[in-house]
Amino acid sequence: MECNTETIDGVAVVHLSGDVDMRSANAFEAQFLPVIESSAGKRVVLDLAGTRYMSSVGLRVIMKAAQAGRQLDVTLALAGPNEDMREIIQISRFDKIFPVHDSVAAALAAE
Amino acid sequence: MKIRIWGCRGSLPTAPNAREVRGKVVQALAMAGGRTFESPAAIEQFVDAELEFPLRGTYGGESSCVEIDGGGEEFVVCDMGSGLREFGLDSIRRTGSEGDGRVYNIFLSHLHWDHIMGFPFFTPAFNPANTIRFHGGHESIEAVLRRQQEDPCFPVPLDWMQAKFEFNRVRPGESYEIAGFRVSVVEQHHHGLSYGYRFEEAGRSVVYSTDSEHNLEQMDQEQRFVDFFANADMVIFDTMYSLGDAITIKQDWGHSSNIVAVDLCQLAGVRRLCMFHHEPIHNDRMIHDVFLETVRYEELVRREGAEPLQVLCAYDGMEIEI
Repeated sequence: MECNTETIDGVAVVHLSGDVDMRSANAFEAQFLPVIESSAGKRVVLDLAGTRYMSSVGLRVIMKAAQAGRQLDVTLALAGPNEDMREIIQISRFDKIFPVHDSVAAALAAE
Repeated sequence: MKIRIWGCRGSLPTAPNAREVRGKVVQALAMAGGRTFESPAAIEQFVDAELEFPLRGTYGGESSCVEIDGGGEEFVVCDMGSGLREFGLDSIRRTGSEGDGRVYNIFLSHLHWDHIMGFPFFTPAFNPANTIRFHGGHESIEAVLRRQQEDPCFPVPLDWMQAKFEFNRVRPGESYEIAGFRVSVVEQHHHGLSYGYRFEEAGRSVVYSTDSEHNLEQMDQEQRFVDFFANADMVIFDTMYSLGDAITIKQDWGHSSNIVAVDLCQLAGVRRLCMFHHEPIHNDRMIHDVFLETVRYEELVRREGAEPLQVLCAYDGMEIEI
């Protein structure tokens, strides 16, 4: 599991590669949370294109990050999930909480 | 070991209304498509083979009550939701004229109303020959049961029930030999705390873990539950909410999700997950859809080469052989 961050048009895009489960959740949190905390007033896009699947622990890290970001006026969107990840997002009802875009480009183009 | 679900609904008993039953009948007849059945057996074959569970049955609406039957003389039941009434009557039917002098062991997850409301209607408690043993982690079991039956809430005070009552306080981390089972206890996160129980007998094990929230702030606690569930033949787990709801608008409401259930059971090497404590605002179709989604989620996150976790969805009247 690894997170690489780049800034595109003022948006922090976090490229997540690898699966997130109980074994890798702490590392995901350690890498993802600081991006949120340093993006006050900005948009953050979590690029899931390199993630095969994510268990509830990873989903909860996303929620923790979103809650931390809310106080800093950070808005979080998800982008590029494969078919399995899209199903996991739907089953967990995270699609009711976060905007989910087909790609990073689509997320950047969205208001 | 046999598990009987007498009540699987969370928070508040429910019942399908006439409109819902009519809707099932209409859909069932539509599925029959004008066919003629030559015998009741042919009708039963059609119902069982071609109608989905929410159409041919119902998940039911009694609040939490689960019997753990190890074949011993003493009864063992978890929680006293409204399902306890039917359990009590069935236990009398099963024991018949030899039913006097029975011991009923009741394990309480906690003392919220939906988990104790069946007790005033528990017929065996009116038999002076019977013994009711309450096991739980809360100190106030007797006081709470008395309060529930005081005026003006209920016309029959606890003392009018003539069975012998015994109260046994259990402690998390400890194990006990009760009614032929080795029983272990775990403390759970819920308003006022709740307790989960693991029952082991003759190499078989079942865990009853309801009204247990696995929230964002306590993710480091999850190994504790993985250890408690380890290699269980079945875990009965509170799957009341979606993960999204459980950690946002319903955070700190004390319940968990189908997603966390699957993850913990997979990590623990559990054989079967029994979804339990169904959301009272969900009808049969909605519960069934969540059940199918949970089966699918288990497939999606199953590790390569791992044994599948069988997912069941509790319904009132369900019997599971362990």
